[in-house]
Amino acid sequence: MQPPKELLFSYFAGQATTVQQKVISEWLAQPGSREVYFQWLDEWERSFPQYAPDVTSRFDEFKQRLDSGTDLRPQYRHSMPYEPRPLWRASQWLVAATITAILLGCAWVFSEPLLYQTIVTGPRQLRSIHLPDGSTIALNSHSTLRMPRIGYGWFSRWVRLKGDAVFDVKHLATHQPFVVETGTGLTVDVLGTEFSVRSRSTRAEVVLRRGRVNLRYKALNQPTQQIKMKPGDRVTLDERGTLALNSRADTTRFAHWRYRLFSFNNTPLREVASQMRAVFGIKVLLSHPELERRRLTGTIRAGSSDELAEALAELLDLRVSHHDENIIFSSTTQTPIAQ
Amino acid sequence: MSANAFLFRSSTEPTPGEPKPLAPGDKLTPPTTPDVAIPADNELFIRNAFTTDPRLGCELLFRQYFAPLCSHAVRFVYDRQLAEDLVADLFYALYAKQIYANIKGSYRAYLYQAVRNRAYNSLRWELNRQEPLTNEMDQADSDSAQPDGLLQQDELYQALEQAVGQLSPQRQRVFLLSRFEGKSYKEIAEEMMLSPKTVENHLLRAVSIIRRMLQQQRLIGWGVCGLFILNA
Repeated sequence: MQPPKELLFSYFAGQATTVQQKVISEWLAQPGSREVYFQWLDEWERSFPQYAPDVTSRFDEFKQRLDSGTDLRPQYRHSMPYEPRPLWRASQWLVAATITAILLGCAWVFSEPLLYQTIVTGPRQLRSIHLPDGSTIALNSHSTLRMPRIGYGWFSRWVRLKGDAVFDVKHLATHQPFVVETGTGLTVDVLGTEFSVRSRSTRAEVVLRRGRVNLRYKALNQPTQQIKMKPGDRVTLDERGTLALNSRADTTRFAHWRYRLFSFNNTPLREVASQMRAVFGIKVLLSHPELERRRLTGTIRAGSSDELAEALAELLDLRVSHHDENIIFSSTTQTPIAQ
Repeated sequence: MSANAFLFRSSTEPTPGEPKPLAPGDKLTPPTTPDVAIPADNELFIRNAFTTDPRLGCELLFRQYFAPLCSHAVRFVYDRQLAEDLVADLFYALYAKQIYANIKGSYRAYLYQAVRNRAYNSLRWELNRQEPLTNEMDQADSDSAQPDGLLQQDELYQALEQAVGQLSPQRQRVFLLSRFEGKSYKEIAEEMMLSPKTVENHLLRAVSIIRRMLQQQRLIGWGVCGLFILNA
C-alpha cells in the first residue's frame, strides 16, 4: 500500500518513527514506488529548499560548457582544511607512544653508559685522568671510576670509585665540593686536597696527604658517621664496617704506584713480587726458591707490570717470561723448566 | 479547553477537531491529493525535446531541476559550491555521455538518484579520503539503486543534519558560514570576532565530530576504517 504523502514528507524531514520507516521500506520494495518516491522528494525539496542557488548564472555557465564541449570538470572546492583521519591519528599516537616507550626503555637500560663515563683499568694498567676543572685522578689497576658525562662541575663534582685511586683536587673559587663515593658506603667530601682512596668490595682506605677532607660513612640502618681528616691521617674501613683512624701514617710512600715509581730498599724479590701483585693484580712467579732471597734496592719508574718486570729482569739479570696472566722470573743460567 | 485538560491529554491520541501536531516538514503541505504513480507526465515536453534536440532537452532539465537538486545535494555535502558543481557535472555528463538516451524511468527519478550517488561519493571521499566510485554513479538503469540504498541514503543525510545540529552554536555557525556561505576563514573570523586559527579549529572539530557520529552509526566507512587498522 502507498503511504500518504505527509508521511513521506515527515520521513524526508527525518521525523518518521521506526514503524513508519518500516512501512516506507516495504512500500519501496514494490515496483513503481521509486517514481512516486522521487516525485515526492522533488516536491518536498521544492517546498522546503535548503537554499536558493543562483540558477541563471549557473545555467549560463552550463551552456558555455556545452558549447565548449570539453569535459572540463570544475575542480571540486574542498573548503575543509586537510585533516588526517582520526584513526590514522590514533595510530600516529600509538606509534609515538611506542617509540617513546622504546626510547624510555633504552634510556633506562642504557642510562648508565649514557649518563656516566666509566673508566676501567685492567690488570696491568695505570691511568691518569685529567678532569675539566684541573683536578687529576690517578687510577690504579683493577679499578673503576665512574663520572657523569654531562654536568660535571655544574652543580657538583661527583665521582664513584671502585678500586684504588689518588685524587688531586683543585680548590675552586666557588668552594664547590668534590665528592668521592665508594661502593662501601664511605663518601669523601673535599674542597681541594690530595688524598688517596682505596676501596674494594667491603674494605676501604683513605689517606690524606694535604688539605682537609670530610668522611661520611653510612652503613645500613645506622646513622651517618663523620670523620674530619687532617693531613697524614689514614682511615680504614674493615669488613665489619668499623672505621679506624690512624693519624701517623707513612705518607712518604703515599701511593707510589701513581708516579709509576717503585722504590725498593733491600727488598727481597718475594716482596717485590707481592707488591707487583698488589699494584697490577698479576701473579709473579719465581722459577726457583733461590730467587726469592735476591734483594733489590733502588727506584724504578714503570707504567706497567711489563715495564717493571723488564727493569727488574735487567737489574737482577733474570729472564722474564709471560704465561697467561702470570709473569715468570727465572735465572738466566737456569734453563727454563717449562716453556 | 483548560490547560489541565491539555496536560492530561495523551499525545498519542489527538482529540478530533484539535489541530494535529505537525512535523516541520508537514507545515506547508497542501492537503493530500490523490497522487498516483504516473511517472512524469509533466516531463513529456522535455522528453519530446530530447528526441529532436538533446541539448535543448538538457537545458530544459537544467532549468527545471537544478535548484531542487542542489538543495538535495547540499543536504549531503554541506557545501553550496560543491553541491552546485556536483549537479552541474551531472547535467553535463547527461548530455556529453548521452545518458539521456538510456533513461527508462522519469528524468526526475534518474536525476535525483544520480545526484544522490554523486553527493554520497563526494561525502565519502571527504570524510574518508576514499576514491569515489566514478564508474557507476551515473548508470541510467535504476536497477543498481535498491530500495535499501534509498533508505540508507535518506538515513545518511538525516544523520548528517542531526550531527550538524548537535554542534555547539558557535561551531555550527562557523561550519555553516564556511560551507554554506562559502566564506573564507578570514571573513568568518572577522564576522564572529574570532582568530582565524579558532575558526580553522572549529571547522576541523566539526568535521571530525560529524565523521565520528556517522561512523558510530555505521553510515560511512567502517570497511575503510577496518582496512586502516590492518594497515596501521
